[in-house]
Amino acid sequence: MAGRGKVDMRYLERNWALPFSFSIVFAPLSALSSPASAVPSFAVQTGQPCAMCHVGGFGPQLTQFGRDFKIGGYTNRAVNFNVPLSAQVIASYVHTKADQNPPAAPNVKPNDNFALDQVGLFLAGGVGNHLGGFVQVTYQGIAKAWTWDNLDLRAVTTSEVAGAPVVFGASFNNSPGIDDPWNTLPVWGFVYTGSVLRPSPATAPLFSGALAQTTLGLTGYAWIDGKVYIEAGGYRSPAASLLSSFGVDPTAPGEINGIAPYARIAYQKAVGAGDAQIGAFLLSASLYPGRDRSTGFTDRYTDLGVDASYQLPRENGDVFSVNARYTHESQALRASFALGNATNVNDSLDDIRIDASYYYRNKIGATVGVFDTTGSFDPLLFTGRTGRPDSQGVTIQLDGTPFGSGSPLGSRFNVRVGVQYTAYTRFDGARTNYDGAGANASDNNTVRVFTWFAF
Amino acid sequence: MVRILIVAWTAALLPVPALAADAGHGAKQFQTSCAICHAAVAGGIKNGPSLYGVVGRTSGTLTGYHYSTAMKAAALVWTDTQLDTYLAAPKKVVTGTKMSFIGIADATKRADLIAYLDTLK
Repeated sequence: MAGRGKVDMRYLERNWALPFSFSIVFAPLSALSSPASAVPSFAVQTGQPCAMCHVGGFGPQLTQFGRDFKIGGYTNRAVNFNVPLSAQVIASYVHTKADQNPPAAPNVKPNDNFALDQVGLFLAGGVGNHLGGFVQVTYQGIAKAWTWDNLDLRAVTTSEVAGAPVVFGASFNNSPGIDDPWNTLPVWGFVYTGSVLRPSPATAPLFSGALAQTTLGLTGYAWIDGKVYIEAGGYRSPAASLLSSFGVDPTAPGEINGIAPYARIAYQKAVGAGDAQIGAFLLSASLYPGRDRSTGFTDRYTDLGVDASYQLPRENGDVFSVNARYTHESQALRASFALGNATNVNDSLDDIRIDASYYYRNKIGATVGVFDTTGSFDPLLFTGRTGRPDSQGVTIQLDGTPFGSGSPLGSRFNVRVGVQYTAYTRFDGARTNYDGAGANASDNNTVRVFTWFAF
Repeated sequence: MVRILIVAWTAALLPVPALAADAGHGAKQFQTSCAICHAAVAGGIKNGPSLYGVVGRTSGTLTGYHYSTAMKAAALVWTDTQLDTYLAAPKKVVTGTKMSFIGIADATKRADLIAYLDTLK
């Protein structure tokens, strides 16, 4: 059991139902650390309803105005001063097709759980024309512990290069990709809210959340003529004692050896009445798994991917969006191989995510997202029956945001209610009997009903 | 009597003059839709250029603001008519503009806003 105030990563591992080595297989931490939502103090600061920056009137999917606000360092301001504090509360009911044995976390039932997922507190705002950002701390309702959460502090300026306007910025943050303005990368990708009580596949690329809140990084970016986005930077692991004091398990996934470089490039162009974007990203990290330096080796992960999106806002307030991402991960697992946790030194993962949504009048939304993860045969690394990490499925979400275009209680209050259904056609390596004990992928099919308050 | 009826009939057939644009309403519209990015005073540069004196100005020419290449290349003169066309669908008129505002579909609201912009001089 982790110490007081610290999130016990075994809550998540148990949720995945596989006794894998946490230092090798990375599951997305999005369930642990949901993205920041429509932060109402930003709405007060800008004097705009949530729908101005967010598709469907609620975060985190951004409109072009929201992307500009983010790239501009959260500095746009319509009022001289506002209290830069916000909060969010997320609660949900989770039902799985088959009971989870053992339960997804201590003190919950094998099925049909009502739970407080998160209480988040934000310090968020811009100072002058050049500084802005947000800091989030979160009470994890299942783990019953406070942790630090998203961090994105910016410094920006504008200039002109070869006749083209350029926004130059720097971001000090704790999660690779957190400062990205599109919703194609994992940090702000669909699904936008999750629960640790919902079964999730055990394996995902390193970029898909494993380094969130376990690293600190500095990146610099340029947004050129509203078309080209270029970013580069690096991430390091803070001291274990610091992570522990922030409520995070310092051994998961491990300690970065040196600096993990991150690079991002994207091109956006108006197509019809909407905006189309294509891009690429790279994250490379050498990790001492579980901070274990005993072998003298590291595990090197190189995530290289491409992404694309299209967003079509309509004059009546409706918005159609498509987001897509493909990630190829090359793994050189010298440390894990030496530790006896991997069969192969060289493995790989391929991960595809595509989602499409339509939001009607910034009030009612429907989203469909598909996912497909495949990888190498490695029975020590992937301890399911097939020795493969493959998972595949679809998530459908219907939601309502009654106050997205303006709340009768003022811009400091917003709420979204929704229902998610996730169906797995393959889970941790197989469609049937994936764990060797008779469990089928569809046993993890989940209905989640959630309420998400922001104020 | 006949003369009175003719005058009344003629008056009834005359087109009703359009209501004058309301700069006061436009000022409120400016606060709602524009003020987050545009100042209404000379020299005020926010995310967008100051709209003080915008009527009659050529697009992309305000000193001190970094315009998109598209806006500079457009070289539009911001007459009331041109503003009305632009504000209805900015990205259609200047493809590549940095302005992420989708536009104002309501012609009356556009007229009110332009009436307010006319006062900024």
